Amino acid sequence: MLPTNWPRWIIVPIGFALAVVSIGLGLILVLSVQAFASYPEPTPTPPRLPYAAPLSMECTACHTDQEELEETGASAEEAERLYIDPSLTESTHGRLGCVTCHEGTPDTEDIDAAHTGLVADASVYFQEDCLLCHRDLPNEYPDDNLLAPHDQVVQGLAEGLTCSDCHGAVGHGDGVVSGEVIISMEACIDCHKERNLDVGCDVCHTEMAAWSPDTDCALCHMVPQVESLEDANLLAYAHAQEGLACLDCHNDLEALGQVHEGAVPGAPVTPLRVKMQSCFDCHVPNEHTSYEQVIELTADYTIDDQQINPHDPHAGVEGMEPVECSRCHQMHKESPLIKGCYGCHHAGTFQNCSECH
Amino acid sequence: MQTVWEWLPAIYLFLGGLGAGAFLVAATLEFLGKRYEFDFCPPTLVGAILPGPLVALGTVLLIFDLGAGLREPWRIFYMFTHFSSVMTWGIWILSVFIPLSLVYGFLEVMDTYPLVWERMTKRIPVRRIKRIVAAVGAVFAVATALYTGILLSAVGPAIPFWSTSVLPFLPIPMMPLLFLVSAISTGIGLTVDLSGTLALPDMQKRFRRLPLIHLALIGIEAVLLGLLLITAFVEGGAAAQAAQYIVIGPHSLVFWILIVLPGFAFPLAVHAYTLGLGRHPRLLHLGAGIGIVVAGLILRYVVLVSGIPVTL
Repeated sequence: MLPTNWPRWIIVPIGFALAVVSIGLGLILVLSVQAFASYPEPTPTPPRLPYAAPLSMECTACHTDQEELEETGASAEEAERLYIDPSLTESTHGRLGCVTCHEGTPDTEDIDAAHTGLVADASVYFQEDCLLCHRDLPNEYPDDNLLAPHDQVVQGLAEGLTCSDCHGAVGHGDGVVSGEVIISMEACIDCHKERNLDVGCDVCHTEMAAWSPDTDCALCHMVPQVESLEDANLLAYAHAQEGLACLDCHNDLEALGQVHEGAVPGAPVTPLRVKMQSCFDCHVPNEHTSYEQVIELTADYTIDDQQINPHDPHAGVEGMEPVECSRCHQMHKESPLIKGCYGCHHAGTFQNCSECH
Repeated sequence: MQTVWEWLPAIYLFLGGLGAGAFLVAATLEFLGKRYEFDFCPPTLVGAILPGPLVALGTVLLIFDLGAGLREPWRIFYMFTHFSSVMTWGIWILSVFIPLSLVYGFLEVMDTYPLVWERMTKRIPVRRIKRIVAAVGAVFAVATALYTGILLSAVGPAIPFWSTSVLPFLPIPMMPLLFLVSAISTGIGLTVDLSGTLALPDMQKRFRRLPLIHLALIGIEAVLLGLLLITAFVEGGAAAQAAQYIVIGPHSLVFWILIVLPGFAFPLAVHAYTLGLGRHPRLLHLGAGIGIVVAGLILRYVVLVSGIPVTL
């Protein structure tokens, strides 16, 4: 097809020209076709952070070696705090390089120079750097029935709050990508308490997970129930020390199932009083021989010069059931003891109701 | 700072693939002995000489696109030692393939014009060396073509469409395979359909099996492209959204008119016609060659602009 008087090697520059012309042709054709199409804005890619892994080699050489850290004069404890697991330098955040988030002076062996301008908590100063990749942060996670105050934090409405306040040193391990929990509920509650904010379940949870005997009670009943297990002033503490768990006392699973049915975050907890029999299941064989013996122990008890047995206060009163132990011996808060009687005997007397009403 | 993936990456991915594909065509003809059935073999000459300049040009554009290498050229050397990075594999592959291609091109020129290089050709066994260079170069040509796809699938976690797997249950990224087959197809388009048809009018007749091979390659490429889109739809999320953009969305006009029609439908029809009737209409072959090469570029462009980043 080429003229016969042309040298045959001309096919090489023609081939090269064709490759280049194809590029121009492609550009023109795409632009022409796009003129007829509803072409959207080109998809933006995540804007690049400075990729400073090669400039952070001096940082990682020292911080991934505990001995090297100690050689710089750091105590063993300090060295442990500053130590970075080498595998983390290959994590999503680690691959950006230390100086990308923490600044300082890159690529120097001089320790003082390297740490000049260092920022320990990047998100305090460069929150917008986190937002380069973590765009469109949701305020609700429907799959987890969870709310998150991302908008408030990003827009600066949550006073003094920044990414790391909730997510800690997420760049150093607890990665979103790894699927690990990125913030514990305890951290949320502690922070809310510090700021005098509501700690009700419905502040963060939109719906309750279905209850089962295996559910961790602490998820919803942390305050005051589960916390009381560690308060030596409360009776729950003594029970916890004996190795008892929640369901050892709250053992009516059918009743538990009923009170949890339809429960919503933030609603008042339905009190599920432990039956006397549950107490006696343990206390009779270990301490008391019988309920009668317990009654006998306080047979001569007097209140306001009246002889009233607190373990059998309604003896002889027609229609009154025995009072459950837990009414006076409360587990999760201070026991009211005799003051518990004043809940009904509100005038502070122990006459029959019918004497006034 | 790069804010969008558009033409520049598409052009250097295309040039890398085109160069690698052309090299593979020349090397294949060399090994099959077809090259020596002609006193002048345009596909081998073009396929040996052009890959070096084409891939080198693509590499320059890549460095230009990265930006940092221009401002602080020494940072390019860091890339040679960071072996856990895909970029380091690429820089090694390109560093070997470009010089090999240039040597192969020079040897092919010596072999085509022995009288011009008489002094040298008498002293060195050009064909034997050329075979060795072609064999080693072919390995690196495959690596270069695969690398253009690996480069994209490495961005996978951020842009799921680019790391779409071959099949939903087969976690091998499709992009390197698709780009390899597309590279060979564009290589044949440039060296055989365009250069061969222009320089040797009866060349298509003399390579009897070529239409069948090219037909198979276009078919495989079409199947891979179809699988890519289906798997992306099955995967859902950002990958499915990207596939939707291509097939029925804002990029669909470019996809159907500028990729499917000139890059698949028309060449398939031309090669099927050639194979069925034994006729070799030169203008149609030229048209098919241009269509395949241009569609190869636009395919990369559409894959790039359709990549939708996942929200972290």
